[in-house]
Amino acid sequence: MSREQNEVIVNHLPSLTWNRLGVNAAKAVFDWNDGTEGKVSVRGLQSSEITEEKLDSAAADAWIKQYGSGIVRESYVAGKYAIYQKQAFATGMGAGFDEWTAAHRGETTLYTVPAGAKETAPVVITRTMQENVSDYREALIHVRAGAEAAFILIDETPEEICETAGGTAALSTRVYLEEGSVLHLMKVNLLGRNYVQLDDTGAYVSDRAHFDFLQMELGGAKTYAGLYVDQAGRKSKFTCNTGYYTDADHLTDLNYVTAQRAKKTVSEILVKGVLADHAQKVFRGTIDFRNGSAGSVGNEREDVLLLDQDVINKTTPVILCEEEDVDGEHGATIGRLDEDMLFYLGTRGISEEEAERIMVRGRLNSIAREIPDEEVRIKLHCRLEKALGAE
Amino acid sequence: MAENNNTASVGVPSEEERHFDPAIDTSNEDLTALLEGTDREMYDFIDDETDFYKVDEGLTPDIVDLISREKHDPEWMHEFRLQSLKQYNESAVPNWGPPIDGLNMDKIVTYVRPNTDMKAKWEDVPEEIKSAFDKLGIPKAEHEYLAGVGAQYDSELVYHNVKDFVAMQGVVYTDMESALTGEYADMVKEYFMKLVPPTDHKFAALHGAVWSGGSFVYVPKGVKLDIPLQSYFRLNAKGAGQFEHTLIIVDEGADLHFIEGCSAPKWNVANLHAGCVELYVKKNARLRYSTIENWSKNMYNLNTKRTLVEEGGRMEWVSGSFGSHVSYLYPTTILKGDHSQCDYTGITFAGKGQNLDTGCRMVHLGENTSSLVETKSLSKDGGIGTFRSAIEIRPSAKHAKASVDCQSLMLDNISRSDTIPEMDVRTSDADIGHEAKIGRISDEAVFYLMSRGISENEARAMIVSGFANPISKELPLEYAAEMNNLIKLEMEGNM
Repeated sequence: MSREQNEVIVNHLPSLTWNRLGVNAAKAVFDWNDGTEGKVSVRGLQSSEITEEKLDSAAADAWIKQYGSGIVRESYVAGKYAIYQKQAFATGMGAGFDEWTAAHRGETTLYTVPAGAKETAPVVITRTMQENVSDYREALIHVRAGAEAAFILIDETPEEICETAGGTAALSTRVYLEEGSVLHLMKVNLLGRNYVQLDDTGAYVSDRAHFDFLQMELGGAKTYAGLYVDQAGRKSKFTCNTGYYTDADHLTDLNYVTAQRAKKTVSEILVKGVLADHAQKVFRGTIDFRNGSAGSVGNEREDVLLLDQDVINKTTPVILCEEEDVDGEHGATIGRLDEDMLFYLGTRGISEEEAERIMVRGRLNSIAREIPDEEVRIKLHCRLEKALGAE
Repeated sequence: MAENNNTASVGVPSEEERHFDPAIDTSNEDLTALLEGTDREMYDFIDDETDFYKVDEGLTPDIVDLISREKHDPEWMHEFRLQSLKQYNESAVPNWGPPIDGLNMDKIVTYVRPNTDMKAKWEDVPEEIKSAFDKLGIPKAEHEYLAGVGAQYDSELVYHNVKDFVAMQGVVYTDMESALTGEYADMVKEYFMKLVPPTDHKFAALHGAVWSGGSFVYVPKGVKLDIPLQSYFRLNAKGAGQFEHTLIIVDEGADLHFIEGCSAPKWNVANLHAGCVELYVKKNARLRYSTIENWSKNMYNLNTKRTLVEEGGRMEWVSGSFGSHVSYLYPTTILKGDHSQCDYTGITFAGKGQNLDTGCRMVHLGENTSSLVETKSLSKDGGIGTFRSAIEIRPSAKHAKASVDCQSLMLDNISRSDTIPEMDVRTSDADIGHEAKIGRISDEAVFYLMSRGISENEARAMIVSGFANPISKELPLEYAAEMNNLIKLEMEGNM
């Protein structure tokens, strides 16, 4: 077992802005314990038509090459750089993370949802991370034409060591949605409070397919999450619901990009978060209307609740547009609890602390309740209540 | 992993990351081609360059020495220029924003001076220069509205006039060179390039080294000027850079509206404008700074504007960007004093061959500070418009409020419009809102106007004028008229 420090530049903003703002990219620094690994359990797969296949590195690369868009057309428009990174299958964390994973790759799991299958019950894949564990997993999900499926990917540390456990949990997920298919992909972070999580996602969405993404970030000391959605298909749809609760001196660093490349595509990104203590958060959200996306609509909204004086919130909602007939919107609301609301709750005998908890719960539960699995929802609820210090 | 030969591994704000790889640059555009087919007769006219004095091309300490001697700089300014030149040579060009590689500093004549001294009377200004200004409408503006005119022709202030009643109120409005050695020399020394230090970025350093011309305004305590001051300057000589410096101090309780306008003839050699504007708004003072920028479409406009607002002070920016080949323009406001405020209202129209990167930056330091940003952006005929902003709420800015609203209109599908805002909030006692929209001219609106007998092109032009209306209504009448003319000119390609 050897321990080494790794440094990877991830989460590039597709269009560079002023360096001094510190949002152009993130530098993830983390320890890597070679020879340790997490334990993976899968639930709900047997009862479904979904198949599971283990791929070696060459086979995984072949799949990525076959189903990615290839090298996305470069563009120099927003600056003097190619603003789109070259990746066989684009992801949110970018090419730097690909380089790192190439050196730490084990088996890749490919899940295939057969054409026309309608899987209403989710496949729940849980990776349990004990103290001082470093683990990298790669999952590929292929949803065939007209099929529908739900996957919940959970990174967790057992409750009893959760307060102190640290390590590194890295994860890469690439999904390919064929014509008319639907995929609900949910990623839940319930890692120990000293963990570093690197969670990368790339999606290719074909004609009339719907990629529905959900992310809940409640664990870990540092979380870097990236998502790149290639809406290459006509009338393709992308919806995203993300919730985070970041406290202590923890960091949440998110980079979401959707490239709307075909006619009449729709994207809807909603991010709700809470920052407490000395927490830091960076959210980059980019809607990229490419030439040819006539009739497309993109909407992005972030809502951040700041609970303490020393938090640092960075929000960068970007719209890139090279198409005339589109409708793009983004909005952000950043601030503390509404005083009228506090007053109202006060008149009902609810203290400020309790009111704060109610508001935090309200925000995060609105995302969590979209998860179609009772057990996962309970886990999320318990972790949140613990973080809020409620009895 | 295959195909991951990353060309864009940039981003973390370290010094190394500020450099870029020129191998992936694409800015070899033919400016002549870009200028073709644009009817800008009213704004583009070139006078003979005869009889002017030029320094050698390129930028060396000798040139800086020469400029300093020519200007009769005090010793501290001579030193300051040389330090800035050193800083310039050490700084890298920005790694974000539009390409500026068409700009070759070795070929830019940094200083071109018309062979006329400062003139106090309009009649004494040489005929050639006068006719150029006539076309820009300066005398008319002066007679009708304005208190004083500081019109800059190339690098030198050639005509300067402050009306008696403005001077009688104690308002100082003079050219920077006179200010540097005159009665207010100490004040200039105290404030000059303190807000925008040469270390800020490469082009601020360049400015510090070669600046010339510009205006100095001091409005004493409690003086409220109810007529705007205007400075209309322009570039003329082929390959000439312009580095005017504007320093305005509005003392406690005073009030000023300053108007800056630019127009320059077109040339097919890269032109550079790296001006610097430093504004000080003291306690309970108010300053409105309006700009209609209409540089020719071969201009690299790398201008730096910054203001420091003290307690209860109010800053208002009104900014229209129509010209230039490339623009980097982000007026910055530092809300230092408690209860200080800033409004930024801007419009950018990017047409053929233009890459206009504009926006603003608000830094909230004081308690109960507020900022309001409203911008409009139009892109047409392959033009690229970028709105870039930062709202920074520092921990000391308790109860700060900030709101950003940016709207973009795409007029065709060969153009581009990007919105890159950032919000950095470091206290929970703040309320920050941000809204942005991008879209096209609504078919329903065009149809409605057509049903009233208006042609489609006229209807589109009317809708664009309406879109720009929130900005034009902030401008004095004749400037609003000029802006509407500009929009009309830009839209004419469609008619």
